Amino acid sequence: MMDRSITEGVDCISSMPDVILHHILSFIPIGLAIRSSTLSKRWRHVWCETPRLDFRGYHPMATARDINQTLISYKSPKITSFHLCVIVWVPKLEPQINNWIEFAVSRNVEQLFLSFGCRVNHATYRFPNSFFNSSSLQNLHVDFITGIPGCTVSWKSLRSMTLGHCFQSLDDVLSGCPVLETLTLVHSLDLSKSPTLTILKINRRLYCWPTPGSIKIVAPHLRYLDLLNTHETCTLVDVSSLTKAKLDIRIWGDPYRYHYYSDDEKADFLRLENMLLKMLAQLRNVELLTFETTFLQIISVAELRGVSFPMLKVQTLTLHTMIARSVTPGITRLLQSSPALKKLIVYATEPKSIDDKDLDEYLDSEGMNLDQYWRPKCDGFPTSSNLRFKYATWYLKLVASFIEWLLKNVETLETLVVVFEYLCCSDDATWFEELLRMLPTLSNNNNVSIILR
Amino acid sequence: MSKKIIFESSEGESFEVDEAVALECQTIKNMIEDDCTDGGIPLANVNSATLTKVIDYCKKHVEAAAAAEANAGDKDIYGANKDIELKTWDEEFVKVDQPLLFDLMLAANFLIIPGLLDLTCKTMMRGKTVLQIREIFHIKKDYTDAEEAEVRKENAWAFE
Repeated sequence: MMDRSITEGVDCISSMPDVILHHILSFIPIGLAIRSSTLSKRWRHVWCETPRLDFRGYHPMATARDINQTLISYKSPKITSFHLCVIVWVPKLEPQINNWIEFAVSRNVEQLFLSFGCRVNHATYRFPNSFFNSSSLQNLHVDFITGIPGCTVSWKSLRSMTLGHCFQSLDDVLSGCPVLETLTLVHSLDLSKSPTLTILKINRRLYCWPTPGSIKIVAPHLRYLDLLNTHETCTLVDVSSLTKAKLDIRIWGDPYRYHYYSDDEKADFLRLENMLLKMLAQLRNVELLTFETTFLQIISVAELRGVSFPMLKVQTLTLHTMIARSVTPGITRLLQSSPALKKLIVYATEPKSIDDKDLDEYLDSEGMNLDQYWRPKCDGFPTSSNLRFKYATWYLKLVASFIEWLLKNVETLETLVVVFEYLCCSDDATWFEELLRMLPTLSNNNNVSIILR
Repeated sequence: MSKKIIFESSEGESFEVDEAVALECQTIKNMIEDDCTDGGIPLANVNSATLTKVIDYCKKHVEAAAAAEANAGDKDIYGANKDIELKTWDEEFVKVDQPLLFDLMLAANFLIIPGLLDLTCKTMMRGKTVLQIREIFHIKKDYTDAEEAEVRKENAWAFE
């Protein structure tokens, strides 16, 4: 232990054991870790054994040659995490990638992140065979298009995998991953032969190249589904074991500008509604559901149209939503369709989905009179462009009336949690206290316990 | 009543903690499993001030985990807990003077408390230049100019 009386101006850090210094350096990009070698002789070779190699970071930025040079000096027998990234175009990048992957596998890499994006020629690129036989690999993240493996896959420890546009069929890969739990994809394939796979994450906006159109999810063993969908069709064919699901949809642009789009795209709205309602029907037995603003807006339009809704068995419903007019009919309908609801968690977010004005324009074009449709169903909530976050008192009143409104729409609810993700008021603290003071009035006459965070 | 474990600091002071709290330390967990914790666990290389902090940390994280369990619905889809309060608590927890921070690191490393080791290590160098690191930690340069030039040359790209 250090003597506290002589610590002023004393170099404590250099007397730490190597293992701790390696750990400290593992939290910064490798380029910066290398710079520590100029601190003193003690630090000369410390970076060479840090267990995490992270080549990301804009400054300093490593070229393929720099990476090679670094790996020559690198001495750690064990790499826990290896993040490879090349930002500039490199001729003949593929052989380099293979060398790096072989290096990583030979040092028993546990977490491997390969970020080369469009710089890999996916028509010709093949992973080295050693890559498919790593018993240490636990987490793999590949962001470029990859082909069918030329050999048997054996990833005995792999628990989590994120793939860019991937192998035509995942069957061969999945059969070599006996403990895989989490899979993240741009699109989906048949996962019915993967009983250990419990979490599927699909992000159809993850990478820059176009997605392959419609997708189907056949995953009867799946427990958790996290789906970020675009306007393209997604069908939940079999998700019968699901207990948790999160659905998010981002359409066309972000934010969506209705008048920028062609008539075809405008007409697509109805298809979107149908798609989401069908998904909802497949999620009717799920106990934990999470939805975001755009989903709620589309559900709102369906509700205004008078479309029938599936009944849900959801017990905990989480909504990440702005508090605005265009989500309220959808929320009402969801609450009315959830007779078993016990807990409602609302994350009050900033508006970042379809502008209410664009929704108006759409409804108008469908011949739906705005006043007639919105007014009775939205209880006077403002439109997304009229949300005045910067005015604490104004927003406070809005949140309070929203809570009040929610409570009117629930019968079986036990707990309501409201989380503020978006607070930019200068007097946040007082604002919050004021809101807390208003709560007893709000929770009078019902048995819901309200939690604010 | 939950089972209690007794730690003894380098000064010989005794600290009684719930077994659940002690189990946060992998090293202690192994000892408990091997049934060799009777009569207290002497920690000859952890002083009282550090041990107090370590116990605070473990207690807080046991409580937070229990609270998170009770509010399972608050967790995101992957079971990760978006516990902003705990994060803030952690940030405050490591606002201590350098000697204590390094003592905490050594203790976390010895007792094997991965969360505490990460917490104490992760912000040490992040976002700082070599010059700032040298100043903050009082590291004296013992290279000659020629030696330093040699060091820089080896992986020149990192210094560009």
